[in-house]
Parts: sequence; C-alpha cells; structure tokens
Amino acid sequence: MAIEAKDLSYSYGKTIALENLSFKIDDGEIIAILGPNGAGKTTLLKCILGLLRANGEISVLGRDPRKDKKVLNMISYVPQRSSLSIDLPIKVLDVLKMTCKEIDSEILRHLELENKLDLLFRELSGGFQQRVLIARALMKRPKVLLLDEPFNGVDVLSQKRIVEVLERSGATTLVVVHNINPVLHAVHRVMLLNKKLVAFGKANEVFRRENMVKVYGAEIPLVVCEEGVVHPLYGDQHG
Amino acid sequence: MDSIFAIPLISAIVSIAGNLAVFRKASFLIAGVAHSALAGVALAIFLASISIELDYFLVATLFAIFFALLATTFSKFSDIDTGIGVSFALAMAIAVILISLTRGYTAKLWAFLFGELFLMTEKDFLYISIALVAILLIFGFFYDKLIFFLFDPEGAEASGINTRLIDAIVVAIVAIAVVAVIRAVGAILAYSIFVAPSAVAKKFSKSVAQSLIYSFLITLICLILGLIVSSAIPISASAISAFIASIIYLLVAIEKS
Repeated sequence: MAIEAKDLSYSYGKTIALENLSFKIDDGEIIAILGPNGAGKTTLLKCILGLLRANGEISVLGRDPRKDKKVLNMISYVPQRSSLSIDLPIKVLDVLKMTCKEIDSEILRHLELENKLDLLFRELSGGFQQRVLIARALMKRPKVLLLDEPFNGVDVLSQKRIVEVLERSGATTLVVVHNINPVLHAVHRVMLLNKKLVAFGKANEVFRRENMVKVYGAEIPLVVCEEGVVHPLYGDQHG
Repeated sequence: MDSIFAIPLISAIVSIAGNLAVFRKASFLIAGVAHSALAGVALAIFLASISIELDYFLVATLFAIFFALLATTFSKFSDIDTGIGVSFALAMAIAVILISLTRGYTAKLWAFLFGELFLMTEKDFLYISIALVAILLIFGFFYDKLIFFLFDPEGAEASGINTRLIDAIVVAIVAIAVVAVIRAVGAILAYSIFVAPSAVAKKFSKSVAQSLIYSFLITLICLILGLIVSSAIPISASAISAFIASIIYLLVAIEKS
C-alpha cells in the first residue's frame, strides 16, 4: 500500500477544507483528483506531504509524513507553476539540480529537454517549463509523485510527453487536474473531491450524472470515447 | 578616505541583500527594515541621552531583525506588503516617540535618515566589514537552499527544506545589510540604492551570479558618482547616488516596456 488515509480532515481556521477522507492507493497506481476550486485538492496533496498537519490517520509508504520527514526523500511534488518565481535568472540545468545532483539523460530525452539545459527557465514556453518541473521531480526517482495541475496552460504535445513519462516512471502518482482529458487513458482510478470524498474508482464508475451534480453543483455532459471510457465534456470543449 | 575604501564593500552588501529582496518579491522589505533600524538608532540615542551607552549598530540590527521577522509574521494574515507596512509604521511610531523624548541629539539621527557617505568613520568601516563577512558566510553556506526557496518555495518545502528558517535567513541578511550601510546611504534613500540596481540587473542577467555582479557594478558606479558630484557641489552624496540609481531604473523600465 502506497498511501492510506482514514478519517482525514483539515481546516483553515474555521473553514473546513477536507472532511473525513478515507481511501487506499496501491503501489504504482495513477490517480486523478478532480473537483471544483476550493474542493481541497491541493490541501490533500499537502496533507500527504505532511506540510499541513491534518487530523485523522495518514500513511505514506508505511510512514506518517507528519512525524517522519524522511519520507519526503521518496516523494516528489510538482507545485502549480503559478507558485514559482519564474522571472529569476536561473538556467534549466540549475532548476533540474535543485532536487538531484545527477542528471538523468533518459528523462531529458523523453521530455525533449537535452538542448534546453543552458537556456533560462523564464525563456521557455509554459509547456517546456512544466516539462522541466516534471523532469526535476522524476530525477529524484520518487516512489510517490504528486502533481498539482501540471496541464494548466500546457500545449497538447507537452501534455502527451508528460503523460508518457508519468506512465513510464512506475511511481504511485496523484495528479490534480481540472480537465481530466489529457491524462484520462493513463489513470487507473479517479477521485472526485469536494471537501468530502464524493466518489473514488474507475472513470466509468465515477463519472456519473449524480456524482458530477454533487461535486460541481451542475449538470456536466458525459461522453463515451472510442475506447469506451466515460469522461466529462467541459464547457469550452463543445465547439 | 574611509568612504572610498568602504564603497566596494557597501556595493557588495547592497548587491546580495538587494537581489535577495527582489527575488523574494519583497523589495519593500528594504524600506521597512531601514526604518525599523532607524527606530533602533533612535533608542540607542535616547538611551545615550540618559547616560546609558549602547552600540547603535547592535541595537539597530536587533530592531531591524525583530521588525522584519514581525513583518513576515504579519504577512501570514494578509500579504507581505501589508505585513511590512504595518510593522514599518509601528517601528516609525516608536522612532518618533523616542526622538520626541530625546533633547539635543536629533542632528545625529538626521545622519541616519539621509546618510553621510562622505563622513564615514573607521568604526563605520569596521561595521561594514564585519557585516560583509557575515553576509558572505551565511549566503555562501545556504546558497543552494536560498535559490531553491526563492524560485520554488512550495517545492523546497516539499523537499524537506526548512523554509521558515530559509525565509528568516533572507530577512536576517537584508536586516544586517541595511543596518550596516544605513549611515552611509540613509534610511530614506536605502530603498533605491538597494532595489534599483538589483531590479535592473535581474532583467539583463543569465544567472544569479551575473545578477549579483551587475548589481554590484551598478551600485559601485552610483556611489562613486555620488561622491564625485558631492565633492564638486554641496549636495548629499547618498542623495546623488540614490537619484542616479533611480534614473537608471527608470530608463531601463522605459526601454524594456
């Protein structure tokens, strides 16, 4: 078991962010976490990292991250790009070396970063910046990988490359997304969150009308793709 | 003579602290710390007026670090600018109260307010030298963690770095730097001397090291020009230096936009 939570709750002052979450995630699973803004998705990742001290039980790779900080050596976290100081004059190589001094050329090759090492991070496109952050996370060879909205503002090709390396990594992966489509065929299970755990299971079990209404408070059209997987059709995709 | 020798050291201090403040997106911290240090100086002068002699550098450093940490604590409730603004106002209120209670020493305080680059003493030179060594040691020791934290605070925390400590180190370096050079550049003018060269350097640099070197050179030029101009006409050297630094920033901003 990679991650296990029992009655996990967290509040920012009097505002409840997570309420009595219980779930189990197996080794090597790729999980997509969906929910509206303020659903507690990022909070959940931070509770798994032990950066926020949640109530209830949480175990990552058999350890409690709130007490055992050494578990962070086995976890990689990719924060939202908006939290970075992107305009710092730092080269791609320096960003990669922040978590691991040895550069893995295989990961660079898969993410097409070999020729970008001497460029400034701030001069890359959003898609390549995200690839650098994913490469940095993977070079640590994590057993658990947590990604917070890695596909935001990222072009389709970069989304594809990122999903490919996530699948190859073999790490237990939790990826927070607003739009599941880039990663839909790579995920094993989907977690629908709105402070409480609304649904957790295979995409076809989770993406149901009643669950979507519970989470988003509105009807979200659901379609079945060629491979028979149900996925939500978001407002900006009707065109 | 001490001023000429002190200028390269001041430029090095200003470059490191200015870049850290700009990278931290908390350049207003420089102004806040400078005015907090002023409150410390006001306390030292007040105590001297009642025959309690304390070293101004020590009191000002403690005040600056205390109020800067208070600012970052306040910022948890709102944002960093509000946190700095509130703590800065508190420090200035204390400074004004102490100045009001002190008779006949206000001329001394005036020097700290506007700076006296030309009138630096051996003692000031010693303080600047000690501060530079301390800053270089701290900055060098924590360099990798500082840059990681400044670029990606959440990622740094998730990697097990004690980001509260690293943030406190940024604040401490800024505080030590501002106090060390406050008599040379003045509390009011410190902002432009610290921030303008670093902000300009960041725009043109391809690495952090380059940003440090460029801001060092810009500061050095501003301070030397300040000394040259003020030796020819009776205008404060620090005011001229701050004026040149601000104009450079303005020209670069116009050019870049």
